[in-house]
Amino acid sequence: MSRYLIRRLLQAIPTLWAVSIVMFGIIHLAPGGPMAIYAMDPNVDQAELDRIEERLGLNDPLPIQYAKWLKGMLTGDWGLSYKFGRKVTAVLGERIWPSIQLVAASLIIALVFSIPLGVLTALYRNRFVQYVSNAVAMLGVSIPTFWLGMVILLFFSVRIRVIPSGGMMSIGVEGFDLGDRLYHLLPPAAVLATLHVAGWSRYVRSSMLEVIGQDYIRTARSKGLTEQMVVYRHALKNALLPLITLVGLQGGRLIGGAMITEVVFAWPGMGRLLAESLSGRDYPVLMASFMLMSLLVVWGNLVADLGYGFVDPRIRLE
Amino acid sequence: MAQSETVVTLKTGVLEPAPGRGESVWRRFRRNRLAIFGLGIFILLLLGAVGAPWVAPFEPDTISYDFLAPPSEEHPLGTDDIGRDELSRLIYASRISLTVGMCVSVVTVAIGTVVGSLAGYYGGRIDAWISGGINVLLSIPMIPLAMVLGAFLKTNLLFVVLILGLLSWTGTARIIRAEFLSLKEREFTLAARIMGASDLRIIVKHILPNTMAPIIVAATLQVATAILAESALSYLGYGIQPPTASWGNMLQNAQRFFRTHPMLAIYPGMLISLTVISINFVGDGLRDALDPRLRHP
Repeated sequence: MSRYLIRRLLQAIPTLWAVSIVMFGIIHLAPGGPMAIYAMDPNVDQAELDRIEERLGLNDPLPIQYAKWLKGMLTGDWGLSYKFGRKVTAVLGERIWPSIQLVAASLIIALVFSIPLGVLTALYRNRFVQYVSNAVAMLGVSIPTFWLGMVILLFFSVRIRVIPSGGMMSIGVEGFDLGDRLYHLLPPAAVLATLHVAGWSRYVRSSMLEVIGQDYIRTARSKGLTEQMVVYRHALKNALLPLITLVGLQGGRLIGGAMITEVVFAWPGMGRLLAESLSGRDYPVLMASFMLMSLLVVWGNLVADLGYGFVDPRIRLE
Repeated sequence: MAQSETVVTLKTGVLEPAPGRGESVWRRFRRNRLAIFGLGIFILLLLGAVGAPWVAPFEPDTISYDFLAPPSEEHPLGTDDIGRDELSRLIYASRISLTVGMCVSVVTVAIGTVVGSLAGYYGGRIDAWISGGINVLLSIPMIPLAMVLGAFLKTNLLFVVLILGLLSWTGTARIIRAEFLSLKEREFTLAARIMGASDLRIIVKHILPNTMAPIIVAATLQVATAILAESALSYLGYGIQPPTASWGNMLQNAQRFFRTHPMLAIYPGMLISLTVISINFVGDGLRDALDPRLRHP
């Protein structure tokens, strides 16, 4: 097990390295760039421009810039944000925590809704239930999340004013207030969850159907257990195993996927930071955000594999 | 014991020839009401997009002094902030979405098929490299990466198609690779090889035709995914640029008048959802019709 873990961690290194090269290349080879902003200012002359370029290290050849960046990244010096003038680590540190809250909340909401929905549609196999569940699942994957967010804001914030119009805390609230945080967190988290409720409930349903047909379920029934016991103690446990993989795989991607929802709900997370750094050509922040998001994806994949092996001893990780 | 008489009734009539493959697929597809519904909507949308100059009451970019006008006989859905007819813009925007969706699908199928076939057929080191590359691509979040590319490259229709196409072929490639892994071990592949067929011939003539079902399904669903991605990208301002109407950038524009004129933000989103859902229904129907074994229970 630990050998497997070590090998997987070692495998992640070339992946992340390749990601860093691809992203560094794309970001730095692109036309425009941070200097364009200074160049537009008539008060900045060429000599000043050269000095700025020198200071930012942007006049070095690309491989040298990359080597410097890589060294900084590995030694914990992620550079200064062009836009905020502060350390990238500090800027990211502020933004990643709200993102994690949002993602965690939406994962919980998705699980709370998709598991019962999947179980119910597997147990009640009449046409009507099938149709409704099919339609709900289809709607969930077909409605653009950002539009769903806009519509929810329109009805619940503009019209009947039960949810806030965005942001992370109410004006006047100081420090951390759980009630106020949840009040702001729930709408975007719920919107973000819809996509997964649709997919996961279908998944739970088909895996439940598979488990229900197996011999040990018949044994459980024939020894006189109540249907409830059979479904929840015997069947559900096994039916949920494949879901772990799915949650791991998709959970890791969610910080990147939450971006648009963050923009719509003005949630001060990584996604919005990325959108802001992009318009300001904030290279250090862009690179760091991409590395962080990729790291989370790789980590999610690993958790998916390990988690599966952990809860299902039949799976041998080698 | 009483003797029982067996009565056999024979249906009389002409034996019909066994239906061809295409015909039986269509028969199974037809039985799926949601798929037929999806197909109908999709054809309507397609007709609207192709016939936009005749269907739309106005040019999409003609401005007028009727700013943010309510629905009227002249403007059935009202006008936007610079007096353009909302209905006409919605109709013209469907051209963008459908074009992006279908072109991206073609690009992903082309790349995914080539890459997936090579990885699945040759295996070994080639497969390791390709799968590694796919893992790298999959660990970069797609919409942010598409945004970066959109911000740095030109954002016209061609580039949006290329960006989305180049970022989303991995799914198709994985499907094709998996199909090849199993098909290359079958007897018919061996038979072809014994008869001296080249690798290229085995891949193109013998294995690829057997992967058509999953390719068609993946291609259909990809149209829907690409339309969603394009609308998201345009909404964020890194896709199709105004004044060219796309549902995504119409939503972005409508957000400014959200409190006073909410319908401007409702229409484009409804059309995106309707388009995507109809394509998804068709894709699901095709999956069930093409390969009954794949049917999700």
